[in-house]
Amino acid sequence: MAATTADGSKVVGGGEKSNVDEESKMITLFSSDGERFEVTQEAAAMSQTIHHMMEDGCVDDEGVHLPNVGSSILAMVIEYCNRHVASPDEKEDIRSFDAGFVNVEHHTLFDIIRAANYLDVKELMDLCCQTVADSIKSKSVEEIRELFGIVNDFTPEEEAEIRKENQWAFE
Amino acid sequence: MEAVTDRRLHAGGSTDDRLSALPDDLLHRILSFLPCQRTVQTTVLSKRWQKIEDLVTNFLIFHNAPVLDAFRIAMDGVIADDWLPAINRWVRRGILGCPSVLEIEFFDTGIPNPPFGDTIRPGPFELPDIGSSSSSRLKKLSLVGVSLGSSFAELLRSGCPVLEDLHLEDCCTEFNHIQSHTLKKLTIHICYRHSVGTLLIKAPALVKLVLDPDLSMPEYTQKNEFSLADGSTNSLVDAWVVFPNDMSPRSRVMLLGSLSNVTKLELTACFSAELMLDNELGRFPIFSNMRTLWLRGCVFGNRDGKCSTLDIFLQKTPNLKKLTLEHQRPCCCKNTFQEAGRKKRKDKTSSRALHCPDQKAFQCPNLKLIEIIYEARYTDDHHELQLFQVMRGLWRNLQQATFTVTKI
Repeated sequence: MAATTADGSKVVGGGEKSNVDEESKMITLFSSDGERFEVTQEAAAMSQTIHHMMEDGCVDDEGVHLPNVGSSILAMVIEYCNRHVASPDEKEDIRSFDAGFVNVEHHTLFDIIRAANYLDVKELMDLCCQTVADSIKSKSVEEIRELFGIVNDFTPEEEAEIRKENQWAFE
Repeated sequence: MEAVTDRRLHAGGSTDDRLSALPDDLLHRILSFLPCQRTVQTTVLSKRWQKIEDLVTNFLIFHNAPVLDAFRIAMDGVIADDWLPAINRWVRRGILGCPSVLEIEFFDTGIPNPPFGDTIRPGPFELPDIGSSSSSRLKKLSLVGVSLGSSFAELLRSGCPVLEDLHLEDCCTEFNHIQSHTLKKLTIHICYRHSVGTLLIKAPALVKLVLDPDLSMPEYTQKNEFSLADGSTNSLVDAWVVFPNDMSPRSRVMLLGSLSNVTKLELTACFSAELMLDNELGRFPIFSNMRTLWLRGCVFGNRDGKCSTLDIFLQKTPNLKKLTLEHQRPCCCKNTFQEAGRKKRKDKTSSRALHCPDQKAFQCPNLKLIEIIYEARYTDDHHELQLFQVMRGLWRNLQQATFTVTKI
């Protein structure tokens, strides 16, 4: 797993921050299945949800419970956040990291989207939505149905009607 | 939005459709990354997707039409006829949202300009009527490549109580006046007016003005006359103006007169042509507030023996701090009449010192920075010579100033 225990602070200490105290301030997150994750406050703050909780003083010593996010997905989200706060300026590295990160099964991607939405991590949301959009972009309607298992519940007449209505888009 | 009940399952059971199972707002977000054509194609995936796409197209998240902060539609290239109904739908929905910022922009629609006469260049997109209830919050309006009827002037006058920024570019217009009590910034950029006569601008709160009619079609006989009503320029600070070649000298002087309070003026014109008739010189205003002056165009040509525009400006801008002279491609000099004149002038390369009818030297005690910019490929030897002559003339009076010359 990407970020556990005291090692977390060493990984993330990118040397760019002058305030040593801030770097090592950790926060505990609990996934829906009770697993415990330690992350730096900086990484956790990438989640606006958690950031607001921290600001409003709603985070107690125990940590933050995330009933909507399972451990495997939470681990991935944490990995993403850690990587992005570690070296935000190394654009090339981050790009290749992102590309590898989204190279997962679709249903995993959708779970990450749900988690990122709940945790409000904008960059991760955008990355994953863009990835899904990209896989839709280059495909025909039939191929999209095939890929995602979308069931066509239109009658042939209904479908023809819609295609006709928006003819310009189907040319 | 509930799960479809009459779904027909594939024989053998396909993979779970976990994409469609995502909540509406997430699907909506994914769709927003698709180009609109693809978004519309998703209507056919299944009934659920049809509903989602409707959301995207109609901008209705729930039952109430939301009030929009900003609505922008921008398209590039020629618009096919069968796209128009969809575009009209979107624009109407956007307008209905009573936005604070409205931008309807159609670039490069590729319809060529008529070469002669007063035929309208066909406006590719006719703006639907904006009722005054929809424009009540409008603060910024930007219209590019749009055809505007005469009712637009009335809308500006009485239907936009908080409008501050108006940008009209490449539009086809039928009105003769622009009137607004709240307008602070006005940009008119290459617009084609169907009506003849002067375009009157009446905007007493105006702070920044950009006036740029089309200079690239000198054969176009449309008259481009502008005038600013009295009182419209009391707060005007910043003006960026292009004088079309066919603008009458009298209109030019009058327009400059309206701009006499500005602090900053950028003026593009053919300065080597007859910018000012001699008998108008007396009416050339004094720009007592002007700190920055940028003259762009054929700056280094001049009418031999006559006072140049630069001379005049320097006489009339006592508080000038910074002067920029940008010599641009002399498009006006393509005109054969002026070509002949130019050939004649080429023989008279006698020293061209700055001088005025009464030989008075100009007084710009605060003028400390002079920039000269010229494009090498459009500046021939004759122009370069004149450039140095101008510089020499300036330098004689302004030995404390800093000169920068940039050749691009």
